[in-house]
Amino acid sequence: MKGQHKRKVLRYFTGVVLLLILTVPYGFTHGTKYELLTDGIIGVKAMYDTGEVMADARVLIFAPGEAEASIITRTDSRGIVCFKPDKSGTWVLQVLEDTGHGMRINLKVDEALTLAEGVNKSAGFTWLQKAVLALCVVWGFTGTALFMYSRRKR
Amino acid sequence: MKRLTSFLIMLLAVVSFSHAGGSGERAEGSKSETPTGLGKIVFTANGEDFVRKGFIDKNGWHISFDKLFVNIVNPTAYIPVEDGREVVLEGSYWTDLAAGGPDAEPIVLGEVHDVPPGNYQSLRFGIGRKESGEYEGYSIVMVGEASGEGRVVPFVIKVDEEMDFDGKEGYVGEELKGLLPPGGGTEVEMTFHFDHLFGDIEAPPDDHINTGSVGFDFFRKFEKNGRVDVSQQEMKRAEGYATLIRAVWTLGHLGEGHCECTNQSSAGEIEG
Repeated sequence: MKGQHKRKVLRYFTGVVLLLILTVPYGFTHGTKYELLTDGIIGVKAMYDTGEVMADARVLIFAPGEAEASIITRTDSRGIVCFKPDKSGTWVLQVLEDTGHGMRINLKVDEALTLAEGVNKSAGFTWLQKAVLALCVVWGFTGTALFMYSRRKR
Repeated sequence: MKRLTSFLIMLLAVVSFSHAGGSGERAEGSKSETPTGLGKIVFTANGEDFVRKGFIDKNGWHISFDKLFVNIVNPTAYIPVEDGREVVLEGSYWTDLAAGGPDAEPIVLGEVHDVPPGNYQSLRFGIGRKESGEYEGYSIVMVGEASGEGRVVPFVIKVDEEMDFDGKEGYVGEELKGLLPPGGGTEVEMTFHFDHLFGDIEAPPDDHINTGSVGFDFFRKFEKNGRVDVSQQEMKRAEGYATLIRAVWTLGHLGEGHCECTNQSSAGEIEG
């Protein structure tokens, strides 16, 4: 009687284990979910110089300092490709047409993993502009001094 | 009145300073540190399969090259930032792009050693006239055969156009070139697309490779005794000459990426 009970318990236990083995992995693989990424996405629309979009063109994306592409994809029907950089530096994006020609875009990504703005912008003032600015400053200080001097005289 | 004038002057001075300061800042991205460990840059030239294996032009002629010389002058690899370094392989290099057979590697022009590491992604180079020896006075010479219409037409086409190519954006291809790690080596490549002169039967007729090229039919106008031996000067009056020269201005590439072309010797005669 005791032996029968043991066998019953063992059978029940084996059944539960088998059920777990058979169902749990499938349960995990069937599950899907998503996350909408809106920050730090870089999108490029590729076009020929005529303005026609480069639809379904091959795209190679190189991470900073890498000679081999880390992302290989294609543009969509509107010539658009998007990616989310995961480190700062210069990312290289190439869009290649079927006949072989292609374009290369060097995208500078900052520490916040967003597209850097104002990179390589020069100081923007010519020598003449700088001279005029310096003159204004001198004139400003002289004018103030004269103003103070005239007040004291009074 | 005097007070108002002085106030305006001070205001102008303050505004000037604040503007100068804001605009004068340089973005972090343009600063570059110099890691230690010097390396080498190998300069190569590549005519690709069009030159090594031949191709069928837009008119249906099978074009093959025995020799294809370009005279490359002072190729310079550089880092395209404001204070970026540049590495020059000084001299003129009369380079046969057809050398080594159908499966040959790109032709090595030379090496520059003791180069600080960095991303030498950009490359500029001149095409100049040869100063002595065979083909003196020419910058590009194509020697080969065109087969079609049941016959073979040997050709020698001599071009004296001079120009400068600049691939600022860098190499376009499966593997990036010019990345020099500390103590390592890298290769940079000048790529020449000669299908731009002849066209390509595999591309659609309205593709720029065919609309912007002359095809072998243009050179055949100069056939004498079953062969074509013609120079740029002799082609000047032919219909299609401007198309040919404009195509010559597009020969220079870095991989599949176009180079900007400047200082063309025929720029005064032909509109770009």
